[in-house]
Amino acid sequence: MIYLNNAATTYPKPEAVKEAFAKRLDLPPSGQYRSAGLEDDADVFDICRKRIGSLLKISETDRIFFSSGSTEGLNSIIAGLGIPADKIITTVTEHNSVLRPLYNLPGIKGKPLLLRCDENGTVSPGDLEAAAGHGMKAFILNHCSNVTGAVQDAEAFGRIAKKHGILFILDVSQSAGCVEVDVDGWNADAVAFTGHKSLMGPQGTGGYYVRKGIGLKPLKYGGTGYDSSRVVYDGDDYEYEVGTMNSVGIAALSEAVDWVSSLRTDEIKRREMALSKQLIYALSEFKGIHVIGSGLKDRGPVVSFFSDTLPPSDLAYILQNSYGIVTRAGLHCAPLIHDYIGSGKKGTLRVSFSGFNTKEDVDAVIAALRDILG
Amino acid sequence: MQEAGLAGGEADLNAASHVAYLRYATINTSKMCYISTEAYYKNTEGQDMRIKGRRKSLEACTESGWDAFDLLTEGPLEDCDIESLSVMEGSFLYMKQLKKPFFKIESDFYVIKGVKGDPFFRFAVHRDHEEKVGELVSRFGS
Repeated sequence: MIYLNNAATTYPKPEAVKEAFAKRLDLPPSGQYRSAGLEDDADVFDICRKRIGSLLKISETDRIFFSSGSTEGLNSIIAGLGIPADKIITTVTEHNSVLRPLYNLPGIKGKPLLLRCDENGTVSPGDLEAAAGHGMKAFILNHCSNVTGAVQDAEAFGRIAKKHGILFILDVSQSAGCVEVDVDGWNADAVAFTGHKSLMGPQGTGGYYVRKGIGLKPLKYGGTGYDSSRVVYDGDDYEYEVGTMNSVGIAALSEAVDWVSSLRTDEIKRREMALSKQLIYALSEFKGIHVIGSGLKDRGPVVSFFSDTLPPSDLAYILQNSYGIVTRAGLHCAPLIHDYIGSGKKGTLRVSFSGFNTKEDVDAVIAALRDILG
Repeated sequence: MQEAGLAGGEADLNAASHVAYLRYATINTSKMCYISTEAYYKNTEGQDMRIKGRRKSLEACTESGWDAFDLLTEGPLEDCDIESLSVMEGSFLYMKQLKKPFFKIESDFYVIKGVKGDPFFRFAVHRDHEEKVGELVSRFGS
């Protein structure tokens, strides 16, 4: 099998991650403040927080909270801020983990203001500048599109948001681990990340960061291991990690982040960009294939295209079942962007890389497409 | 594959190349039954192609807005099984040149597709026409 669906979830995982997961399962369970547990009980989580903080340039690591992933993180941020949706600006490149909470969470009234993108999936900071007045309170941005690979100019967006006094919420699900992220430098007030994509950790891990001083009502309440006598929270001293945490997953995530950091994000990006360029160049020689964002200077490890001959769903089916090449087809949980990039209702075929993919994987895709499309 | 008695046209997508043979057919049921009697129910081993069960499509999201199922067959799909499916109303595409040949039958409200040698094929159906799944299963079911 050739696995090219890393934007959905990365595979394989580094050996160190698998070993950390297995090792943690063998150890006596983490007490998580509810019993004596292990001597280094607190370290598992704090070490992971520090490693994430170092990679994503977050200095307030005690404000990184673990969750099941970006989706839970984004729901927690959007619900917790309690800002009406019609006071929120976001973009048409967003994933459903942003759009669905904005349109469906109880208590979030109205509809957000959507900034459009161009045919490559790039959003203009100038559009935020134009929209940011008029009582808007927050801006949510997908840092790297999971459809086109377009990386947004987060520094410019953060500067504009700060200038207008609006909260800047950044979704780094696709970029963390493969594109440089500078949360503090970009003045991001909140960030959501997931563990199982380019951070190379297990599914079911991830988290979110919220800058100190920003009041966020928790999405969930429960036991925390601190002061069981307390039932009601007064003021803003909420607790965000409730219930027994996924210590095994977080231990593995910690090793994953360490592994990514040791390779360095810029080196990972260089390798993955080379594969993307190789694929885009080869696809340009096919008649009737339309590559989205072929001219993007800054991109994540994602290449989307569609064909005049067969819909993406058929191409993906053939690639997987006839050739053993795993990709993804359709709207990719980002339903709005397709009206702007020309892919329409059928979406695209998406090839997405990790550091484990090779030039030979790209050659195999091209050879298969030659068989299919001629 | 015999083609006599079909209404509608036939289109050879690209006679000069190795792409697909595409047939647009409006089914003349009695003639198709006659033509494909031998292929209809039996594969080359003389065994019936039978659907033994179904599961939700492993790629449900790909058929966004439609319901998709994988219909599981008793054995690997062979040419005659694919031919027996081709009597279903709709256009028929069979790409024999591929490493594992791919077929698709497409109408306005369902799509059937699969690969020769796999023990299943995919059936995506418009939500307003889910009865088509039952029709297919009862026609070929074990």
